[in-house]
Amino acid sequence: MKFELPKRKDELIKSILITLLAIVVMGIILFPVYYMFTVSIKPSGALATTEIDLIPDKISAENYKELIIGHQEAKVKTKSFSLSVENAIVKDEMNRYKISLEDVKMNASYSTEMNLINAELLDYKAEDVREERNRLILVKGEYAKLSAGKFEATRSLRNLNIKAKKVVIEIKNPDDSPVDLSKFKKVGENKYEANDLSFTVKDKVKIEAYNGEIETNNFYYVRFSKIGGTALGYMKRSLILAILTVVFTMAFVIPAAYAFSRLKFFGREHVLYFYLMFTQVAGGLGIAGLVALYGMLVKLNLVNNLYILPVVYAAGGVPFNTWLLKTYIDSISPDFDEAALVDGASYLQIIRHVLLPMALPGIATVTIFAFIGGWTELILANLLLNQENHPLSVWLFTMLANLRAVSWNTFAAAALIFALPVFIMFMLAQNYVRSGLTLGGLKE
Amino acid sequence: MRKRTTVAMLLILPGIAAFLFFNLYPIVYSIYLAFTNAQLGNFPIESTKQLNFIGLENFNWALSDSGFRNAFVWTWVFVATSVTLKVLVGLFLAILYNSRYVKGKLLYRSLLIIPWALPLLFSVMVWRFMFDPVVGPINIILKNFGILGAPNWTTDKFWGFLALNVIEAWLAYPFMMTVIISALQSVPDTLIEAAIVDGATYWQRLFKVVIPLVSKPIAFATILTSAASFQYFLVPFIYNSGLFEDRFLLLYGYRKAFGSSIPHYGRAAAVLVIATMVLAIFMYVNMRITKIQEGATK
Repeated sequence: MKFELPKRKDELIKSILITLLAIVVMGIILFPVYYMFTVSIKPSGALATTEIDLIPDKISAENYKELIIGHQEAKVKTKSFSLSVENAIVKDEMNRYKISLEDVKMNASYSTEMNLINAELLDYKAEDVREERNRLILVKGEYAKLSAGKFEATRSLRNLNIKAKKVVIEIKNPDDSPVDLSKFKKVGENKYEANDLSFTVKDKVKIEAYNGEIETNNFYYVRFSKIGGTALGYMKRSLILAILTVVFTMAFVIPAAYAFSRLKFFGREHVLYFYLMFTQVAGGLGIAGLVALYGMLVKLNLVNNLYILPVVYAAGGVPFNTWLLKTYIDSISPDFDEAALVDGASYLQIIRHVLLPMALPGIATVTIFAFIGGWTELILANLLLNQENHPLSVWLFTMLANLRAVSWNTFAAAALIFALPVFIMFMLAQNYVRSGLTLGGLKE
Repeated sequence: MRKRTTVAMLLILPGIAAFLFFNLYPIVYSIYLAFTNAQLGNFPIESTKQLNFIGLENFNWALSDSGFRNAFVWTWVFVATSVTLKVLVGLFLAILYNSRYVKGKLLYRSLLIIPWALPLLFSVMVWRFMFDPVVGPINIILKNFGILGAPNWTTDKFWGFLALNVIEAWLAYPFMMTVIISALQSVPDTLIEAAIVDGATYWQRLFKVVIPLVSKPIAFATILTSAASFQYFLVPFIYNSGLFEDRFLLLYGYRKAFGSSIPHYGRAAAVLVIATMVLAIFMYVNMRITKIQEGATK
């Protein structure tokens, strides 16, 4: 007994150390994917260059929202306006003081230009309304009312009337104050606070305001534009490619798999053997055939055609998918369809009513492979489609080649939008992929 | 019987027709193009020049072209370095995650499969970010260790080549690890116990008993993965296709046709035909060698 104990302790320490090593190695290997994910949920532009931010302190879905939905921006140029917002910050142009306001109404009669983010037009009265691609412009109107998530005056303005529930002034020298500080309570060094106050700021100031409405009379123009939401079009085209690839694959593969599995006919073994050989060298041959395929499609006038690509993808997958589904159908007992054949059902009826329901798991696997293939294909789509027809894969590829134009945060979010459907589908089909691997090994 | 054949033909027709038209025919057509002067002006549509049969001229050009020779040599360098790395990494991971001392290894293994489930384009983008000279974590770590002048992994040929090796090892390890683990699990415990009784140390058991027993599946996986290394195209294409133009054969062929301002399709086709032939010979030789080994062990 005394002999056993130290040995066990030894084993325990060994076990703890090696398990720790296994966890650390796994962490290092999976770190890139995790890090890309954290980058995608950080606010845009907040990328450190000196340290690695393992757990992001600020998380937002902003990058994803921007890519998929986007937002409306507006620019307002006017002679006078009144704002009523939840929060606002007014800063003196010479940086002498900063006023933070809550629940505030402001107005000024001063030539102003303001940028609005997440803007919405609530009401307007204007004669001249122009609509362009993605843009709406109102010119020289009497009245307009807009709501927005953020307001920012691009130039400083004077004579701002303010009425607020809560006012906090941060000021270095009390003599510079734009408002009589006697009504204020000192709450900290250089910091004064007051409630329910109205006053006028005469100095030139800059305004930033959040969540509220703006009303303007006699404006020069109000210009709307849709920003972001770019990923949606690309996603739509990727989805078209993927779904059509599935449809064509089904049409090519299901009847053939049935024939190869159930019918004995001349040349069956030859074609099957050829298909199997082809799956092993398909990758390299695919690129070898690229030059000619490109030439063919140009001659047939099928370039920049979103609907021909799925046919090409599905055709490329015929050998592998036919094999996969044939092996699956082989495992189903032929008694069922032979009984149907005796009863006088036609081959197509047998496929539809007997085999399809029974081979559903096999068909699901082929569907997932075909979908992933159509969703991720890059080379042909990049070669054959013009920009207005680009799917997600080509969009990401072009963004990667021109990285300075986008932030890595946005880019990471776009990449994850691309990868997530594939990841989920692959996880669903994981067991079949493993069996597909053994299928490849069987022929040895 | 004849009716059955007709029905079967009709059933396999849609698939085989699409396959022949969009896959096999382009390959045959590409081989033909390799013997022509197809280039801008006469291909795909003849406009300013005529498409002529020019015999072996494209192949002669390829053999004397320095870019092609570079790509040819470097492709083999890459096969050598990346396959070595992949096998070592695969072995290490398989042994580690099959060790009886590791607790919860099934969980780790299923998590480690994740790279397999990610689309290649995404994985390469992730690594392009990892290797980014300014915001990439790898250079940030190097800087934190006080290494000044951290390498530029994205535009320097040498460091970029190294980066590609790392990426390939990362992409291939799930396959290598899975194959080797399933091989390791088939090693009978009695053999190892016998070795323990004989007084063999851990390392002796590993190198003298276990690895020889699993060498056949490892050889099989190595051949498959070396074919993948030889056909390396998408990763350098996405990572930085201009930089690696004369490093990878398939990429060189592709760029001759689609990555240059004066596309020469005939030469591109010749390069791709040579690459495919070399690959076929390489695979054939590999299969023969492993078959011979198989015969010797039996």
